[in-house]
Amino acid sequence: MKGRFLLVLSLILIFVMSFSGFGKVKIKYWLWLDRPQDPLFYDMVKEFNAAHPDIEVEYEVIPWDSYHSKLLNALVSGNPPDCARIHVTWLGELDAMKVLEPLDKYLKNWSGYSNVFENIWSLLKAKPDGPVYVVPFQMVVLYLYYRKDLFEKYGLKVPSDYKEFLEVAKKLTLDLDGDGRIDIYGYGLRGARGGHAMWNTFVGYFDREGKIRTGKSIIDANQWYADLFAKYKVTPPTAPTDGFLQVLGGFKSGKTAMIIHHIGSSNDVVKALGKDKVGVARVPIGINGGWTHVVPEGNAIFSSSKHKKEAFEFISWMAEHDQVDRWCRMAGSVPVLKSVAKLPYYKENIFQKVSIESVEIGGTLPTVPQTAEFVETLWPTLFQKVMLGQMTSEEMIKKLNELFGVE
Amino acid sequence: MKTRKKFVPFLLILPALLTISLIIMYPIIYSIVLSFKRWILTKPWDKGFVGFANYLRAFNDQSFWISVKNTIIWVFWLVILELILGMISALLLDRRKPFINVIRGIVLLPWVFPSILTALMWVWLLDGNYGVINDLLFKMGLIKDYIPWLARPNTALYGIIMAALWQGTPFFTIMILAALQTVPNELIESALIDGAGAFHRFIYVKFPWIAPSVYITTLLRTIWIANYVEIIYIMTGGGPGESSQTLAVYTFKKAYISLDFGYASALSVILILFLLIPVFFYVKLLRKTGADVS
Repeated sequence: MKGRFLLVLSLILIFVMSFSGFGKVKIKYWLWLDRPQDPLFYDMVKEFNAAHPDIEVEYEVIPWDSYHSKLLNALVSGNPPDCARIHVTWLGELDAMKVLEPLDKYLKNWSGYSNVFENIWSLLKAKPDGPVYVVPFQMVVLYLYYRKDLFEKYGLKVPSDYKEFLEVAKKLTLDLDGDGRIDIYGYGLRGARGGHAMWNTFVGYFDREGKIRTGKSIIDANQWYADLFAKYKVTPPTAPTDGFLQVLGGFKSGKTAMIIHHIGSSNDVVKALGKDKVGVARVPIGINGGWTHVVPEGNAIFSSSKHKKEAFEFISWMAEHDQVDRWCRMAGSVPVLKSVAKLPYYKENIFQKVSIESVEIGGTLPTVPQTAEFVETLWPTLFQKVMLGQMTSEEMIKKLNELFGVE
Repeated sequence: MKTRKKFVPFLLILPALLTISLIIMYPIIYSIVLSFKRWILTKPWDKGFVGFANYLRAFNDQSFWISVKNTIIWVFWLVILELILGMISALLLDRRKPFINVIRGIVLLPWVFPSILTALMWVWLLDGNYGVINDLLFKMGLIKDYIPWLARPNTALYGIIMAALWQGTPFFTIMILAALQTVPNELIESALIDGAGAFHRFIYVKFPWIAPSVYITTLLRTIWIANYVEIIYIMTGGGPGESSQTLAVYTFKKAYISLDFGYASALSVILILFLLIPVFFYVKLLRKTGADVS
């Protein structure tokens, strides 16, 4: 009798547990994390789920290197998440594939809309007159990291333009122990995927509105940048295939004296070198004028989602004051919200300060479908060939022009 | 009754046949059909039948020929080296010694590693600034300065071959070892009695016995290696330039980066045609040795 009672009770419990999620809308969310070891994001999801009993967010953290191809795979096979963190360079491609949900109708009823810096919204469209596709939560702006202690030791000034930059890089490419091998290089050049942003700082192929420049000055500037490796040898010999980890690792370990990256690396760099050794400044003015990459980052909803309202509830919650403040402090990124940017933490932080100051010369890449291919494969393949002398600068620029349909 | 007996075997294998058709044949046929179409995901309005245009494009594409050349180097060296090292290690492990089973298990470990982990590990082992391999070679006096293995066009592919060799050799070892253990002891004893040394015992007794296993393992590895994408893509992305880009990697990039599925399908069909060559030689070899293909 007792046994039967326990059996029935167990069955009822199992039945109830199976349906405990009944009535909850489950949202699938994908993202990459620059600091996956930090618990903040995981805690934020728990918080959201607890505060929204009718919604449950199921996330998947995917490494950056495979994120784009995995997302495309999912979209093409008809099995994407409801919403995902996306990079704005993919907007043109995703818009052409017609997989993004326009967010204007949700944003007009969102109380947080006016708290976002106004000029950010235009960067979150695929076309100037098109809809907004992304709800942003952070901004990254590229600037120069440099070894303050080495600059002081060798009496060097922070370079303001590309000529001064080269001179400083040469002076900081040193054989410190006289064994005939270079111990420190002036500049950590990123030749692998992602290096296009630093490249454009000096070359100026894209202007600040994302329009393409052509002509001899671009070809010469491109060759100059490749010559940092090939002719002037102020970069590590691994530069052609150095990616984010290698470039950052080189700076943190003292192998390089200058790199260009964004505030996301500031915590790691200070932890490795100490505050006293790390200096930051606006990027030098390039050969074709001043330019630095400004990238708002955020979340988009896919048009195939069956839970768009709930997905917007989540991504707009991620873009509220408290969440943006916590995220930006953890990731070391620049807030897109006016209310957060006013906080003393951001106003007094040297990395935040230089990021905000750099927005003045900030620009983006064109939001056209070809941009994703340019970023993911064409730029690294072609520029590596120029660095290694397998292709001329002119041939590279010609191929880029062909991709973008420019004369 | 006779008619029923004739059809019953087919009815019994029908479920398996349907499953294989769905999972294997349908994607292959779909890819072949797609290779005759223009289909770029970012231009969904511009889709249509283009005949052999994608194939002609491949033959006029410099990147295609670079990829073919790299594929030949990649497959040739990797298969040969895995075969030789696998054979040597299998022969060494084919003996009764204390803890031999533990050693066999340890030897298999690299094969168990996920390719992504293998690739990430070897990127750092071969690193031109901090890599352990450079450090060892430098301290042994074999090199005067660290070599940026993965950043030089003439060493990048060979650096990746090193990584793939470490991972893939255990497969040959295990397959050959399993075959060696089926060699009848009486044959080996007879050879010993006849005065055959270790080398002659291997050439005239063991190898003919294990030959079918060696052939099928070589064929399988050739096909797998030719189709290998992840280890190359993670280690160098096919760079620097296109110096480590194989046809499989190029196809992957065309499909998932350029989103040009029509052209990518044509490239994959060409790769299949190339891979029919080792299959042809395998069947010929097996017929020659009189062994049953299955």
